[in-house]
Amino acid sequence: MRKRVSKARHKTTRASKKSPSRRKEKKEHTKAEILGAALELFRTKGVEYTTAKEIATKAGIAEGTFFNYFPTKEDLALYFFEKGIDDLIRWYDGQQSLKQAPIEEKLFAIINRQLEQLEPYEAFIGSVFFRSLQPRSKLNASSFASQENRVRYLRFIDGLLQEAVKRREIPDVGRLGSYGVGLYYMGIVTFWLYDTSKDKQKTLALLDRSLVVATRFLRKGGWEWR
Amino acid sequence: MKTPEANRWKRAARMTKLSAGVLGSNVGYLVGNLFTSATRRSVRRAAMQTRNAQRIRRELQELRGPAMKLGQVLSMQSHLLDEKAIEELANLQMHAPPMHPTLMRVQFRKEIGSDPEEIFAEFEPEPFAAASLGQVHRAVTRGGQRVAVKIQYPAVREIIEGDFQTLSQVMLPASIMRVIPQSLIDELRRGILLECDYRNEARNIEQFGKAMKRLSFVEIPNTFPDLCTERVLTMSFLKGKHVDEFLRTKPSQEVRDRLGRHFLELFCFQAYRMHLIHADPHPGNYLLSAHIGMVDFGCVKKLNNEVVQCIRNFSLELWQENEGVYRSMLNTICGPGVSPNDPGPRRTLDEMIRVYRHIYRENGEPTDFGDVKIFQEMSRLYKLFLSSKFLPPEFLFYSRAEMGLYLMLHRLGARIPAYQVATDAMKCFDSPKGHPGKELKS
Repeated sequence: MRKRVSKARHKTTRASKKSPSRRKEKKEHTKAEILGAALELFRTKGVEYTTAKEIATKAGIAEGTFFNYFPTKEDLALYFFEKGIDDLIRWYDGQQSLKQAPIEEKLFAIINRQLEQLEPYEAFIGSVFFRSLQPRSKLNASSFASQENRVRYLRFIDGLLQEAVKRREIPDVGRLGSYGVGLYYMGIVTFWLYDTSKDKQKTLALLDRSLVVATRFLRKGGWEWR
Repeated sequence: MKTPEANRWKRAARMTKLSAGVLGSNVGYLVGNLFTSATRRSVRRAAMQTRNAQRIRRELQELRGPAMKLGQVLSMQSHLLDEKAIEELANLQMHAPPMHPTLMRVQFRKEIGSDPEEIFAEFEPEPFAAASLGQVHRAVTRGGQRVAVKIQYPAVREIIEGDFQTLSQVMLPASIMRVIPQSLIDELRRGILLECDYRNEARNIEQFGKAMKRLSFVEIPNTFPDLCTERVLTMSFLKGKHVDEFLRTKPSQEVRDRLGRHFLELFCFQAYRMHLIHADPHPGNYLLSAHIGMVDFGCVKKLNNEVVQCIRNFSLELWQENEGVYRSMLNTICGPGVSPNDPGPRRTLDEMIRVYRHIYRENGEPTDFGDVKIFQEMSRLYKLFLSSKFLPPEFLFYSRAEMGLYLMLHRLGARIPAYQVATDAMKCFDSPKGHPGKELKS
């Protein structure tokens, strides 16, 4: 693992002299390596017992480099979510049959996909999730740092809802719809974190059940005062 | 999009709402007359109206979990409801709202590790049948075998546990009054929870399949152990039609009689040879063709040897010469604490003898099970049993299975010399290899 990394680094060091885009690519690669190493350690050792040094060693970089990329655990989490959204969008693009499904099934599939992404890292998510509720946290919904992820996610959901509008499944609820889905997702994640049932079966049932209500809401076009 | 509501309070509210009106008697029936005759009166009144029956079905269907199970049991209890209601509830057996394909795939993937489309050569995303705790899909394995894949709804176990908690809270005053023995509730709870684990069902299928090789007229599916987990069950696909569908093909009286005879033999074989009873004998669990196909082995009850022996002796009319047999039967029905001179229990038993002699005629005359009167008599007797406060849970399952048998015979309109068939079957099953087909001309 380490060998492969250092080789790659060797290659890109030479490359970086050539073009700035290569440099960016390399940077991205290192970030992904670090995230991979960190998540692997979180999963096997637990979040509390993993040190920055261990992550750096596993990723084949210096500890200082690690802090360059991710000054805090929250930065790591932000990056994790960013990758998650990448994955989600890519995944959805490949789901041809899902694109024909009704809106509630789409939302179910998407949220379930997100939960599946989170599943191996439940402890990590748990530890950053509640921190995100603090106003000064970088993960907080109103923080500058989290806006990019947020906007991308909302845009993605908005795209879905617009598709449904085009298919006359729901009336146009404007931006409100995607905000609503975002909030709903947060609620589901909270429940998920507390869910002790085997294989998170209760979350699945809640998701399925509550989506009926949520889509009924969407179909009606939200509140009167809209 | 309807999974069982995981929100316990919402379910509780719903169940209470229903139980106030209708479900009460149903729950009550199951747990041994929890709610007494006052509600039963309202049940009758409520069930008279078709609209009401539809409402019950809709409500139960929405709940989809154990409440649906109760509905199914209720649909077998013709003595509690009128025809319309029974029809509605019977629909429940086959038309529960399905999970949408994505949810179904998630459930499958969580158990097996990949999507069903990757595991099977062919897989129909639309379920063809609803089971009480899951739904069943047609598929073809990579080896080319046609199979039925049963996939459980999410969080069924959790919901059932919640429901029983609610139930025992609601029932607390009743149990203080010692109206229902806790043992009965526990038994029921245990039974339903066991049903949530499909691995248990897979084991039952194997056991039945092995034992029933002797009966040429019965078909039991094979399981595919690699594709059987807690929430997914894969078994070979049985051909055949549900009883109503079967009757629509207008089978001759002879065919119906033969099937009826086989059903009775099948029952005797389970009770007296296997000492294991398929305790969920609602008509949807049998597929009829030239054979009887049995599906859904979730609820299988092991009968205690003594109980079996006692019922057997009694059925062979040994009670006529032997007061001991009579007394042991009394104890089986009314609990060990009953005094043999107590007139109440004796009346129950005498009534039972009267009804049974009417159905199981010694002179070899066939009994017409299609006759409503016979069925009503049986139902009344059954109700009488259930009003016994000390009914042992074991006997509850036995009578439930027996009632299922009569319901089936009634629907088939079978005319069979029941006494002869039953005693022949009992005797030939005593030997390890005896086969009732050998004595029968069919």
